[in-house]
Amino acid sequence: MFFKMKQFLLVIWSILLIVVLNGCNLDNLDFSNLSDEVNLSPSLVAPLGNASITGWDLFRTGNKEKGPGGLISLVYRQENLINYKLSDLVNLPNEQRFSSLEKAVGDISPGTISRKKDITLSELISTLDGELESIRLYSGMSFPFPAYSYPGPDVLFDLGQISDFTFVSVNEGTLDFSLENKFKVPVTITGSLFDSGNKQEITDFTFANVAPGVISKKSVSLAGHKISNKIEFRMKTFETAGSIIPVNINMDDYLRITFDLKGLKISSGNVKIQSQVVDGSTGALSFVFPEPNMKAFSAILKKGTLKLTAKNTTKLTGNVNLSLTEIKKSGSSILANIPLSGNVTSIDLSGAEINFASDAAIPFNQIPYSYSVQLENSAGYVDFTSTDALKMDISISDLEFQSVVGDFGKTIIQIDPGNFELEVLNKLGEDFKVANPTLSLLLHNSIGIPAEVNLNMTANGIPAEVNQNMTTKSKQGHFEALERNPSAFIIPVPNDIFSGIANGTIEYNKQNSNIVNFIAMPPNTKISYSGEIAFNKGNVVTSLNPNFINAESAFSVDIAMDLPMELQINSLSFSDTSGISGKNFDKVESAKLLINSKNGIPLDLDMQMFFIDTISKQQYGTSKKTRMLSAAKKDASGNYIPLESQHSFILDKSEIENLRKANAVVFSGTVISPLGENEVVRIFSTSKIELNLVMKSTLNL
Amino acid sequence: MKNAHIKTVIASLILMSSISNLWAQESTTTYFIKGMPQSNFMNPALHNDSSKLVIGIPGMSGAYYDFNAGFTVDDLMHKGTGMLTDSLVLDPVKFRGALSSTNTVQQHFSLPILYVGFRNKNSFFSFGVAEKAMALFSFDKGIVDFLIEGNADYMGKTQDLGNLNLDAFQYREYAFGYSHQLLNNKLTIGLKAKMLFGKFALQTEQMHLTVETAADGSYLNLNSAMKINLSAPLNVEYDSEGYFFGMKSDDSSTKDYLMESNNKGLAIDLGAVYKLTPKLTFSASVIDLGKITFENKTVNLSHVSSKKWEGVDFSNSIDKGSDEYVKPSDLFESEINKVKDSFRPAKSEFSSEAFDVTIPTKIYLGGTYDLNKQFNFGILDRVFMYDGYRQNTLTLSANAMFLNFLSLTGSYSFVGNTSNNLGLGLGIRAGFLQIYAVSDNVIAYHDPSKAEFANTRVGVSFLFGRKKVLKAKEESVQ
Repeated sequence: MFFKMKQFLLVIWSILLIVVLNGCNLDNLDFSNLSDEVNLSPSLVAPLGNASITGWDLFRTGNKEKGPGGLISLVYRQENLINYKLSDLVNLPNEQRFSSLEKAVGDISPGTISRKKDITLSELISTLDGELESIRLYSGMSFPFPAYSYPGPDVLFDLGQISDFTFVSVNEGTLDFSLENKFKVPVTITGSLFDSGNKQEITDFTFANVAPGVISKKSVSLAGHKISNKIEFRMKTFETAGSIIPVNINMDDYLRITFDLKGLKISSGNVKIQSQVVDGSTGALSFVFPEPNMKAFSAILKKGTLKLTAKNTTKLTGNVNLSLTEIKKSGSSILANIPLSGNVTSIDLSGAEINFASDAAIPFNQIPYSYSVQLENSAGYVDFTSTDALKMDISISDLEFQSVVGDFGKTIIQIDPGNFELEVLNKLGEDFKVANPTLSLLLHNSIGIPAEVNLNMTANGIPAEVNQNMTTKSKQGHFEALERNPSAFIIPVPNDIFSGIANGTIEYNKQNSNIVNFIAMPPNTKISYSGEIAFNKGNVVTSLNPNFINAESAFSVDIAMDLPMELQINSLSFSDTSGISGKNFDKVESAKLLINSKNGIPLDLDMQMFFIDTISKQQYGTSKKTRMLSAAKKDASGNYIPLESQHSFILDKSEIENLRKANAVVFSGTVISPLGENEVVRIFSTSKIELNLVMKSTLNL
Repeated sequence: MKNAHIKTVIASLILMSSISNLWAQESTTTYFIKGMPQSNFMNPALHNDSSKLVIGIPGMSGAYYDFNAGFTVDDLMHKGTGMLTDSLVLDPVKFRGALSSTNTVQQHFSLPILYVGFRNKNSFFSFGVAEKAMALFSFDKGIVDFLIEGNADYMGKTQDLGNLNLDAFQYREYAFGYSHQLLNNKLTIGLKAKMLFGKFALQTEQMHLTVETAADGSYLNLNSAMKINLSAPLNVEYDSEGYFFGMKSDDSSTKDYLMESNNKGLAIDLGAVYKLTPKLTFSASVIDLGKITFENKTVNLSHVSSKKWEGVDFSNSIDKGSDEYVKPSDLFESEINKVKDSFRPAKSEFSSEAFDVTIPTKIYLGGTYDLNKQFNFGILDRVFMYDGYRQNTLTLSANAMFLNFLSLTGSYSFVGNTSNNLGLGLGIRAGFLQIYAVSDNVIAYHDPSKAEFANTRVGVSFLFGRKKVLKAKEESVQ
């Protein structure tokens, strides 16, 4: 029996061993089949962080300042909101072309032309009719000179050819001629000066009873005469009473005929030009400015080139000597010698000072000039006509003014419409007011023209349909114009052209404007501006009270907005958008943010999150609006007493699911003043919010 | 949900558990199996075999593996449901349900290199050389609680994540055994003296973690304390700031490692067998009473860290326009680095001092009742002790010898908290050759994932001089 039992045990064990070994199941150890699924959902609590945030930190902008007592001011500065350069206001020419100066050459003067003829007794005896031939016998002897009378015909005596011209028309001048009697007896002569070239008598004359040794003179005007260079003396009669007493008969005794052309002004002819200055001209160049009402009294040029060109159609050579006495460079008037050959004369006017007001009759825009013509000796005879014109072109090129003094007239320019955005308020919205805002226009002007500015500023709320989708609501459709009393203001003007920039400030505050309501318009509000500047409005410009500008003159307006954080808040909203990756929240089932705070600012804060897709512009729901901070209390002295509070911000499962779909979260905060909008809440730089944030979340791992 | 990190942690636990399948402790079923000399390893006075000469084939005289933990792989992961029917799903909640307050995964390794034993009248002499190793990983349930629950329900409390211990060592054992029969062969006493040469040791004296969560959540207090000893052919590396950076192998060769002789130790085994009546026999033994002093290539780390995490101070992260602005992400990175740094050991916290490793001691108390010469029943209680850890194993067995060549033993063991361990031992003799295989829990091999404990022992021995004395000796022994 026992053996059987042993056999039975043997069989049982064998079967068991076979079953066990054959049935070995290793499937549950095949780690390659291990799923990613883990049934693990721990709930974790961890402090996220803490912060001690001052009021100063709250305003995340560099545009803030500390005011009295540490009161925070948000500031907005924009330089050159309006900016005008000189060229924007005054149109100054960059070249100037004056009317050509044209003038007849005028009479020229050949100088004094002299001729003389000595007629000896011998020549006279030979020339006349022979009655005095007998006297030759007494030559060298003392003998009474016989009385004699020659009745004619005319006896010619050549005075010699004039070399100064061949013929001329005399406009002015005299012919002076004389008879010097070197005979021993008195003589009487009649005769004439005869222009053999023109075959005409110039003048006739009588020298009566000219005593021995005496010079008898005659003078006749040649004005209107045309004379040639061939002048003859024609003796018509000769008469002498002789001498009773013997006189020394000398055949060499003579009669001297002298011939002088004096003071000749030749209007035309064929002449040899002698170096001489002929009369020029004086006048004024009219400077023309593009601005029709502009009257320049004086100017200093930064640069410019005076170009002078003579246009000469005559045979004359020489220069025009131009004098611009009211253009001074380094204290000296501008003098120019302009060759009649036509070559251009250039004069650098850099730094030149121009006086446009020397003419009492027209005390502006006039540049007086004078000139004469310096003729040079001609090489030979040249034809000349006094009416031949000499022209002169005058221009100033590359003209740049350093300064101009004058009367720029009464003009009005429109300020180009523009707009600016108060970025510091862009993320704030809804119903709040800044109690004491100021808007300052900082004026900088170096233009010496009194002007009045009328600036219009308006703030427009965003359209209702846009506002509807905004997380931070604006005052939709609202329009507010900034009105100031007085509305216009005067631009400060420098005392004189050397005074540089005059600065001034125009302030809009709650006393003189509606700026409180104006500033309450943001967010996303652009402030538009337009207006006009009236120059010389009500200003009488005189030489003692002129306008002035210089090349660097400019007018600019900076804008400065000062928003002290003294707020009257019904509700103030702000928002900030942060990009996220929804996948980061895949393992989060729920989240609870515990906020332990000590708030030194007398404002409550509610927060709401909007889960959005910035690409498809889709919103995937929101969180619940939750109180995050409770306002500080105000004690009897008006001091703010920090308040400790604990709040929690919860995202439940469905909100977490929405969060996962989003690629950005808009944090929309609403700041509420528990005391309402009538209470002015001040935020100081030292106001403090102490925060401790703890995240409590359930994860699904 | 997917979480690679959690998976990594859990998979690591599984891996450590699976390693124990490769190493083994002594099988209690082996203790009473008839005709097998390996019972001598558990009691130097116990000889279930009467051979005059026993030779263990080098490397083949006994290879052991076991698994011993307070949980199963199936507790941690199992087949899913629905779409995950064919997949393994990690189930931390079920895993936690299977845990005790402290949980241990043990792993042992023993590879006899040489064994010779011979009998001379009433005495038995033996000499053995074996390569042994042990690894023990223990963790408190608190760390699993933390992973599953988090700390949200512990605001205002301190969560003790407990200790994390990992001890592992390897040594070579030279054992000289002697037993002698007294009192007219009723009493056999035995002694085994062992010289031990340590090669590697990792000893966690302390690794303790706590997490304190403030009542309002405003801070987390993270505390850790660790004291670790290491002896290994490794050099510690530090970064430029003098903090632990990593470890790198030194220049020693494999031969140097295997022949390491500078870490010396001693141990003894004591045993006795008393035959109260012809059918009733009692036995008792104490195995591996000793320690190894590791002196060579030692690294000691003593590090205590405490980090109070209060989040980041983002006071300077509000205003981007501020000169002092710091990006929140930079703040978090900086603070997290500070936390990391606080847990990084500094060079000053390292030393190189000798340390002792006490090898696990086992106590066996047993008794048999013989029905006849071929069949008996046995009862054995085994106590495993290591560094304050205790584990009791109670084994009931039925042992038979068939036809003088076939040894067969069935057993049922209570191992720790598990009770479904059905063991089997089988030995077959073919002349002087003996082949055997023993397991304390063969059911485990049907579905290893559901086993908390399993082991197998397989070996080949040469037994000489048995036939002539078989009957007489067996009678005298039993």
